[in-house]
Amino acid sequence: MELCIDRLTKQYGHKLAVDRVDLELHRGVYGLLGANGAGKTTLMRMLCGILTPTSGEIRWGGREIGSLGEEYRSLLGYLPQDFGYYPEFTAEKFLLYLAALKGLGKVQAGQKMLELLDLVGLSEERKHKIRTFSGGMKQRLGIAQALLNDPEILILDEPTAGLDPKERVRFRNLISACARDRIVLLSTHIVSDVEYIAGEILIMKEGRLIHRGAPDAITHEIDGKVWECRVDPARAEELCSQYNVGNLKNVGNKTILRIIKDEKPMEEAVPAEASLEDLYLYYFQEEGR
Amino acid sequence: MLRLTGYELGKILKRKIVFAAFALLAVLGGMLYLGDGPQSVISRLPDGTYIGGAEAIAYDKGIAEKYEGVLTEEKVQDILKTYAPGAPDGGFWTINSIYNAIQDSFGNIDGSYNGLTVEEAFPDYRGEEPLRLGYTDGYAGFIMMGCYMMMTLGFVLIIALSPVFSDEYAKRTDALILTARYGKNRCGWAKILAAFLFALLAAAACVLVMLLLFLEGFGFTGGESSIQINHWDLLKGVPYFMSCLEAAGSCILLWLAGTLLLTAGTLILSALLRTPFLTLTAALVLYVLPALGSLVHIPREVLALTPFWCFLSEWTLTFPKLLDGKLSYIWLPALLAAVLIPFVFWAGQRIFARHQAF
Repeated sequence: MELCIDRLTKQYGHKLAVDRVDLELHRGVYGLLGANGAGKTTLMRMLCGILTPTSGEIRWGGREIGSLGEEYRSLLGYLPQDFGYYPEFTAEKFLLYLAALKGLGKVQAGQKMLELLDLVGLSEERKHKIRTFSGGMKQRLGIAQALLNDPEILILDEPTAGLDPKERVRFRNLISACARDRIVLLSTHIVSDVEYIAGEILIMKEGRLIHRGAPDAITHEIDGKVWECRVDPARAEELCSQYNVGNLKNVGNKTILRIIKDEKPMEEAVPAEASLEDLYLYYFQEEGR
Repeated sequence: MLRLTGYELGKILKRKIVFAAFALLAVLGGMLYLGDGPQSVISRLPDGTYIGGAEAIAYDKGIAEKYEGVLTEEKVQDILKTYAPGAPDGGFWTINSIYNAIQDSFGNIDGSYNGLTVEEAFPDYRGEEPLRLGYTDGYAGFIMMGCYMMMTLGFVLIIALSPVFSDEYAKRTDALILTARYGKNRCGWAKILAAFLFALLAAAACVLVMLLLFLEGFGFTGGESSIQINHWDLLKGVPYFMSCLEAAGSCILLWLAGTLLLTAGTLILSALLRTPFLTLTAALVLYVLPALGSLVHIPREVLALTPFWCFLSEWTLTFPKLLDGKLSYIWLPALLAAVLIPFVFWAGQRIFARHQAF
């Protein structure tokens, strides 16, 4: 089955948070990239059915999700950005409570809870109160709750925000492991979070879906627009303020700059292979400068 | 649904502030009971000595038994004559429950008879049956303590129930709930059911404890007597015949109705407002505001439908009966509560399910 998004729009006063987004999601991991305020969270909240679109619709198996109600929510797993929890609950109780909300029977809930705590590496801490957990542990608990009902649609909003690099890698691997046979939509503004695990990248800007494609293919869009040059540190500073600079590395008494620009920025610049991060910077250069 | 209700009940019960509020209620109850309970009863014997506690209660019951029945001027005069302390300020003295009850309406400051007839002493009384004299101490004490306890319980309930919905908004757990299968329907209902169960259990426990304490101390004696004749000067304005048992039952009904009304209001506020603190503030203001209602000329029939005045049931019981004396006013708050409960189930769940929708 597919999740079909048809001219989906959300307007707050005069501001268009999501602007006529058309999209079809099949099984696989989708990385939703965009700067803060691009409309990612609004789009995801509409996909989860907690926010009503101003216009357009979302269909699952040809039916509008609002009319599916419980049936749709039973297919859904959602990890909101900066998700809330009950500090006094233990990890075990938190999952059992959400399992009851998701309609799992008592026995099934108990089994699933143990299985998922094991998957996210929190078995040892299952009797501990959530308020004692680190940010990474809470996020892992968050993904565990999202998976309780074996969702066909898994929506993860900025799941790696606030995690250290090690936790982020662990989290990425966890998503990869549980991404089979379902639609996973993962929003982030950290490119490396989705670069390796997403089958398709969706780029949102100012409420619109401006670009989409496989990570390898999508970067071809900016072939010939990424440049590398070796300059003096003083000149590097000048170039940084002048151009959209993706990376900056000091080697000896020289600085290597990675510049994203439609035309060759300077005589000594040489073309470089585009990465997803370059693509992101290309589309979001205004926000970056 | 039961499992969800259990979780929601657990969330209400496990808050430390709820325990603290109940502890304060228990302290207040203890103080009231020590002040007005059976051990505080004192009676003056004919020789001028005083007895207290169970002994005084037994003595008072003996006097009540002697005069039990229709209240007449002859009985009034006999009581005043027999038990008068014979001092210029004797009317202020505590003598025994019957004497003091009669003295309140028929005695002068020195304890002598003021000459009023029963009709003159109870000008509001329109009952078809005559007033009946008897031992009313236990019932009157129960009603008086019940009013204060229930009024305080109102504050406890507001503290306990304000976070039911709004805490989910404040903690941002609402998004997880609303995307779960039962998040938009059964969860809301479970929260409301748990809140009503909690409130009713708390009120029932409070009433039951008071009942047991007063029954243990005073017994059932005097159940058929008119509640209007008591030494607390309580419910004197009830305009129709009301036995002590009926008065106690009516108060319990009003207290439970008040509990349900307060719970309903707090839940709706909790669903509408974004934080438990906002809900708590709004609910407290709305709870206490009717206390000032008579100052701004809000009709008393309207005020009597608010939880605050339901808890202070003494006032509502003095209203004349409706429908040519067929329906006591106390049924209106109960009826309103019965209408509000399904409304709260419908509206509370709906507001919660849609609060993020726009």
